[in-house]
Amino acid sequence: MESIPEELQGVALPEADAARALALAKPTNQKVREAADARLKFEDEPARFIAFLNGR
Amino acid sequence: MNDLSLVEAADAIARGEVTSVQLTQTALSRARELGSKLNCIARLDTDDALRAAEQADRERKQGTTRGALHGVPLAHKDLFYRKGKVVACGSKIRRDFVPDLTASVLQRLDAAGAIDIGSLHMAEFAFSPSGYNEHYGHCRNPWNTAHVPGGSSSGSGAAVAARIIFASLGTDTGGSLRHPAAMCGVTGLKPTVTRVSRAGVMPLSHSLDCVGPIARTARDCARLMEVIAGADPADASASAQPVPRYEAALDGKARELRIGVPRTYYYEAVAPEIKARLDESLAVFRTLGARVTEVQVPDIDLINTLMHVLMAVEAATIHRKWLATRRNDYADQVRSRIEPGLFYPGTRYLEALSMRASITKEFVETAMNGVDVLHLPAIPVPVPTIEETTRGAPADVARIIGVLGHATRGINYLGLPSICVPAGFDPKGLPVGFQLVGRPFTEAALLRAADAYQRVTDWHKRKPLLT
Repeated sequence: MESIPEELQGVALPEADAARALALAKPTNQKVREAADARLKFEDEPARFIAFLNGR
Repeated sequence: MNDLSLVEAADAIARGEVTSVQLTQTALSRARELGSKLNCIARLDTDDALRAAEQADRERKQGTTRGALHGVPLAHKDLFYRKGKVVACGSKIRRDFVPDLTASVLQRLDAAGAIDIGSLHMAEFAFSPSGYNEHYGHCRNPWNTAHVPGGSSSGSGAAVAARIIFASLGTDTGGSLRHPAAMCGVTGLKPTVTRVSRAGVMPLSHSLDCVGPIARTARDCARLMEVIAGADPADASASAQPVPRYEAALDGKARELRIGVPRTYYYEAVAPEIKARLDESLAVFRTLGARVTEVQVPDIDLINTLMHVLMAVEAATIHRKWLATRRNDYADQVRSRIEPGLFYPGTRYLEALSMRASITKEFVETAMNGVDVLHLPAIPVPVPTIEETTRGAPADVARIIGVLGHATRGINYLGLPSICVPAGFDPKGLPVGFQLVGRPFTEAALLRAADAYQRVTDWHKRKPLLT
């Protein structure tokens, strides 16, 4: 996880800034994953949101 | 003249009681006089504005009216592209950026006859609920210049409250339009996501960004919404839902209105002096015949988390190249909000997007069950000082800044419309506002309720004592 930004994003963060971002990202990633595990169904996909807004 | 509302000004021009040149000269004069005191102006286009005003007056004398804003001077957040003009987006990186196109919403305002006098200061790349800007200095609150104006549409809130201009377009990704409206004591409408075109607007987050009006009254917002809302060939995401006659629907009535008040989450962070104003605003609605009931809301912390993932990933995508090549040209406070977006896997991002429909449906079906609108605080705490949001222990600054979006950012994930309405002042004389949140595409109902409230209150008419 820690190696993703520099190798894949092409953005070299200073160690302190990477640590700051990770401190937020780690619990956030976990919270989203747990929510997705509990809620998401195979048929859920982003386009459903716009359809819901438009009453479809 | 500058005390007129936008609608009053437009109608006075139409009746020949005042000219566009008079109003534009007054706006430019106040911009020069107050602009530096409040640091709310990014660019003034004096010559272009006066030429356009003279043309508007000639056309009126010839019996021609371009539209509902004929001859009215406006100015907008400095992220709406205007062909040939510098649009810096509050940033050092785009300090010299000159777009080769004009934002669709500005084209619509032009077509309706509005006079664009320039652009207004904002937080760097729209990243700050306080209006923080390290590069060009902080915009200041007209009610007390030691305090923040709210952001990121800081100049829009300050300039409208200071009676420099009659209204302004802002953008709202997590509250950026509602924060300055609330903190500066003016009215702001964040429409349903996709209701207003975003073509030619510097993005922060494609999934969350909304364009909307900041003005003195709900009626002003209604008039502006009729001009700017609707499908746009230049923005495939803009909704094709018909645009209602918002202004014609304002009848002053709230008798049938059912208001839901969530007692969990939204009120947990509310300071007593803010709650007192919120309770008073509910009492006003009761006297108008509205029915107020308590409602339950789903897990807002989860909604805020999902909003953060969308915003951070999309912002990191937009800014990634600059983060790699011009890292030091960002303020640290801004960079720190973008960089977590580099650390979310695509699967988490897509999960956050994929849950959006079911979570919004659940929110509407539970929180809005049996009610027409939700009544929420806009900002749960008194307007902080610039000092409180820029100096001191990083954790304290982060906490103060974080609480500003407590009641706003989740609404962007849900995509719902929200209007922010002035509701009085705290003991230090800084404005307090409330939000009314509606179902998708119910801007007309929100404007109607806010207008009914403003017909029996005068908070929106109060003006700061600026010398």
